[in-house]
Amino acid sequence: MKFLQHLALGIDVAFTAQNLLYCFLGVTLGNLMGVIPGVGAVAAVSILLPVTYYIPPSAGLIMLAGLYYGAIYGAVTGAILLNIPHTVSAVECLDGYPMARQGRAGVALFMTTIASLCGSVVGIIIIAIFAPPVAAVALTFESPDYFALVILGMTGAVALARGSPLRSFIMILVGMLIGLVGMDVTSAQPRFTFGVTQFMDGISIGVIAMGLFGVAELIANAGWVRTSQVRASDITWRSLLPTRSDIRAAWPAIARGTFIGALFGVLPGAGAVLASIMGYTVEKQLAADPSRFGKGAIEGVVAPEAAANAACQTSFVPTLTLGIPTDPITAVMLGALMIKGISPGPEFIGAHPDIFWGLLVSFVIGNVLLVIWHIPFIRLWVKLLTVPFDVLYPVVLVFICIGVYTIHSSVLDIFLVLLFGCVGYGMRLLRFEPAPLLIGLVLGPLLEAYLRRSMIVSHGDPLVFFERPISGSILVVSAIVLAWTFRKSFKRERAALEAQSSGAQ
Amino acid sequence: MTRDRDADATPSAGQDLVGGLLTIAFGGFALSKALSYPMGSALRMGPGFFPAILSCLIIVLGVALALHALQRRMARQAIEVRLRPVVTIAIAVAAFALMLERFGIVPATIALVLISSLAASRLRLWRSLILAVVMTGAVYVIFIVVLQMPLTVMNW
Repeated sequence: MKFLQHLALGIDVAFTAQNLLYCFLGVTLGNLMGVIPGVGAVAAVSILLPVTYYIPPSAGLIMLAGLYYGAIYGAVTGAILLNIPHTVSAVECLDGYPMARQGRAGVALFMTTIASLCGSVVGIIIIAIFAPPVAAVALTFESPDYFALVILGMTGAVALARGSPLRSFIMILVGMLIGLVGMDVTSAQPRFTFGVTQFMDGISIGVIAMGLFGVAELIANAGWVRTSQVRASDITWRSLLPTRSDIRAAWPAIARGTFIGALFGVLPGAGAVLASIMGYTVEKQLAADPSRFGKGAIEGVVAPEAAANAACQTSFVPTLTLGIPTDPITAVMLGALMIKGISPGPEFIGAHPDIFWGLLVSFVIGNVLLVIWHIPFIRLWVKLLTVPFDVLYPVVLVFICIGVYTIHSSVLDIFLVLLFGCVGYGMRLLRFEPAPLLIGLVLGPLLEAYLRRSMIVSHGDPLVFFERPISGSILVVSAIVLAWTFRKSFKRERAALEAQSSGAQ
Repeated sequence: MTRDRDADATPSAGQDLVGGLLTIAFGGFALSKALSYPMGSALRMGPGFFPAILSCLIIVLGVALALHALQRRMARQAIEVRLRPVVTIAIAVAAFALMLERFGIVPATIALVLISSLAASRLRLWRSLILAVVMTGAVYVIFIVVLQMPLTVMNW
């Protein structure tokens, strides 16, 4: 009965005209930004972050979440039609683009839409079932346990990030330091402010995200030329329809992808990117004939897509119940909620049931809207892909600059976004991933606060973390994960070195 | 399109070395700042305590990254920097920032679009001009008419 009451509350909230409008705006703009090459979900969320300052928190959260899953839906279009490796849809290129070249782009687009819908629906059900009990358990947690959880979040982000774990570790710590900029809450001591008054409140996560993901991406991709294989007129109604054998091959792959995605979504640091890669890898390993992969196997397109969407949804479980972000996008969303004076954590669902259940119902509405955008209106998006990038990037740049200015009406923020854009481009050249930095930005102040509080509670005894069963076991798990990650990376390096030296002889 | 393929290969020794040294520099700078704040005690941590720990960890990891580079053979592989987009986008954004409050959003947007168009490998003047006009119109409608944001429109 309680569930039905919650559902009714959610429907009440989500179906208000305002929330419907922001849900529609969120998924549509997210889809648009997802389709446009060179703008990802993170950039989409951060460009629209300033808008949330002017609207109520539930509408803001509904819009930002819509941007997130909308961008995942949209990114696959570019992957299939143009072979554009978007961050969330890099693996869909491997089989989606060959399908398009075989004249089966319509089938690929149709089946990925269905896969996205399946992944999302299962993800939404998992949030509804698991988020409240997780929050209830988390209510019994004390400062040392939270300290341990944040450490687990850090190690997860290091272990599951792309590329070298050492670099991800550095990026998280750098993010944490940048997160400390501003006035220290306990001692009122300004830290790392360089005498700038505006820095007393810290640097907005939106500015950093827009710089590292938006401007840096534009710098790296400006002057980039590509050619389209598919014209909008090629995508007819008939071409969308899968054959019987497509459906038979696709549905188990969708189910497996959904399961993998739902599992990976709740892990900190993993997010939709890793889930889609895992979805692809598993399909390839299970296939009777792995050589079909890379040549247009439908399983290789639908499984990662289902996984990405399921992960995108389930990543809201740790974000909303523990206040620990799983990827840069949820980190930006947490930042947006905190500015609104809402701190996500175990009390969140109990204190703001309207926002939580409204958000959940809006996920359903948003996914239905996306299916409508993708099946009857798919040609619109195909057409958009023919717009050259050198027209698109000045447009995106204008929105970034105005968006960043409207956060605080501060010209300094525009220069900061430029600074972080250049830093982000430099990081890209040196192969540092910006994603862990954004996670660190949110985790840093949390870690410090929990550390200080734990120390006061334990009278300065650091052993408190190991004496409490919850924090102790979480810390042990974190240590194992970290050790395993570095061992694995060390072994791989060693193998690569040996291969290099034997090749030289 | 090359970018995502690059992202999955292992970084070169040169990238490790430069990255490690920059990390050490960043950590060292942060540590020098952190040490200037009160440290407090383990029981009552001062504002300098946590940043100092973080900075030390960053320095240690930076050293590890740099040493990792020195272990490997240095291939003479240059890190390719594309200066043109960096410089043009920097000038475009700086111009926008400087013009926004003084001259208003209309001239600032025009400058931003026109200058940033130069980042593309090939300049198409007419296309950029049309884009600048269309974008300025769109910005005016979205931010001034619809969202009613308190921005200076034009001020010569």
